[in-house]
Amino acid sequence: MDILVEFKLVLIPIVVFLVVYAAITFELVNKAVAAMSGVSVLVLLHVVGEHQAVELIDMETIMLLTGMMIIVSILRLSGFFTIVSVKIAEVTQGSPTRILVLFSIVTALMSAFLDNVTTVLIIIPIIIELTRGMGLDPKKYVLSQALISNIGGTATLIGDPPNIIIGSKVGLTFNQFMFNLAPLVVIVFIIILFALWISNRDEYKPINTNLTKLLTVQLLMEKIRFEFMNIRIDRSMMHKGLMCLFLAIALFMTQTITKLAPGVVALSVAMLLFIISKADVEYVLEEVEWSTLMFFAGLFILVGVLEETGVIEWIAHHVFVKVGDNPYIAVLMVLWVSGIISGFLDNIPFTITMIPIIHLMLETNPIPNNILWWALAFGACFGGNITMIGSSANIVSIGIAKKHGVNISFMDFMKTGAWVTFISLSLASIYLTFFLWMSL
Amino acid sequence: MSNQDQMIMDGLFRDLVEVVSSSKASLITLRCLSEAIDQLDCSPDDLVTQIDGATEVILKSRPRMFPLDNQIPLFQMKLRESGITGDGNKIKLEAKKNLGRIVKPIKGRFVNPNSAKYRIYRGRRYYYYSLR
Repeated sequence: MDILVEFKLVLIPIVVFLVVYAAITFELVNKAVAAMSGVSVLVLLHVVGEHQAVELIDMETIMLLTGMMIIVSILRLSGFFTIVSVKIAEVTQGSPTRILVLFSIVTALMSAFLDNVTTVLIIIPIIIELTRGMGLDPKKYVLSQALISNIGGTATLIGDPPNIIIGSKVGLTFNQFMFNLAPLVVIVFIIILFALWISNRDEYKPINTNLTKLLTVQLLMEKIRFEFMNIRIDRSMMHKGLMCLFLAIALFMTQTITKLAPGVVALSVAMLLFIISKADVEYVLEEVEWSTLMFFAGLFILVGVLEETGVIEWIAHHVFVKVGDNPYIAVLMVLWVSGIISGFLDNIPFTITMIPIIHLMLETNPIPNNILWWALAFGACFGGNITMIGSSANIVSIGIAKKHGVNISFMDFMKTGAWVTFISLSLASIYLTFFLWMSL
Repeated sequence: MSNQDQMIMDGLFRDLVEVVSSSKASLITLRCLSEAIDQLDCSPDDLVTQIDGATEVILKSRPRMFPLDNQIPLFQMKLRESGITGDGNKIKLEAKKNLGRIVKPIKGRFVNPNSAKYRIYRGRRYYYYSLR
């Protein structure tokens, strides 16, 4: 009888979890459907009750994601992102180096304060148009922007899904993320940008010595202006959208004073924006990525069940705690394991799985200043750059590029992504080691 | 001038005349040529060759554009007539001045029917610009 109960409570969640993970990794079904199907199986087999399942969802994360998605959708609807990208294209004046640098700066900033997928959705089409029109190879530029978006997104709590999950589940503030992660992200950004430039420096030669090329660039700018400005620009909605975005960021930054959780802030500001902008609610809600929210909810339940049945504790004790008491080894292990696994598996389920493991690691080996959490954040975010399936931004970038006739293979991506990740993780190792040495 | 340059220019002209008329596209091209000459960084000896190369690409481009096809030879002729050699800045200035002289009367001849700047067809804006 005990064996039967054990089977039901332990083996079924493990099997369901592994099947869901495999379905997500090999894209057998939609990610959200895979996660929710797993939950359905657990509820149908009475491994977990429906009310208990709902309680396992981290509503803070869901609220933060929903709120930010609404704000971004309204800003996109206003035409703000189109104006930004056309203006940058104009500033570059067709200089290949300026295209790389300016677009990378904007991509990194947008990824830090908005979400990566929106950023690449806006940036990639215009960069393809610009580089192809100049007779350059768009592939290098698409790759660089996808990689930079993952690096930029690492800087803040709202920049990348793993950070949103860590921040919400662990209770770390926006400022803690920014003060601890952003300094390294800036260094990594500069070094990677330089490395991307130097590795293809022949591609980035100036064109101002060739009149035909300069003329082409000027005509291209005109074409881009006509094509991209073809959409409706709602300045009033844009101003309100930007005002609300800054308000949300200001409230995130003052979280310790206001005591308002980021999820509450994001959703409240989104509702305020709905009211003042009079945006088409139905249209904006259609733009919200419900499948992503469903995916998150499903994973929270699956990992929650594993946690309740003691599976996570077992993994923590037998895999991570076994490394011993040395905090340096623990931090570097979390960083590199997270980095490598996130490159090949989706970093969202991985982060959700790792959170209870790290909680248990901290119980046996208390490492100060949340360094273990920063190691997880760096690993999960930077690691997404190894392969084209490592992060949603990569998948979306490759998809847009393909739609525009630019084919980037798995190996094409990995040839650049692998060394970019190696440099990023190596710099993170030095940073975290130094940080830990200062804290001990 | 390479084949790739010609193909890129042809593509750009095709895209431009899809959203603006041939006369507006001509005006844009002349303005862009002036801007490009301004940004060019080369020796004075190379400057005239570069201008000749760029104007050749424009002339060989398909679709052909009116009044660009007539204005470019005029520009080439005027530049040769000026006879300036040796000083890059003077050549640039003369070239821009000549382009300005060509652009000005074209600009003045634009008619904007029904005072409408554009019409919308299947979600895209099509700009009305025609010459009197």
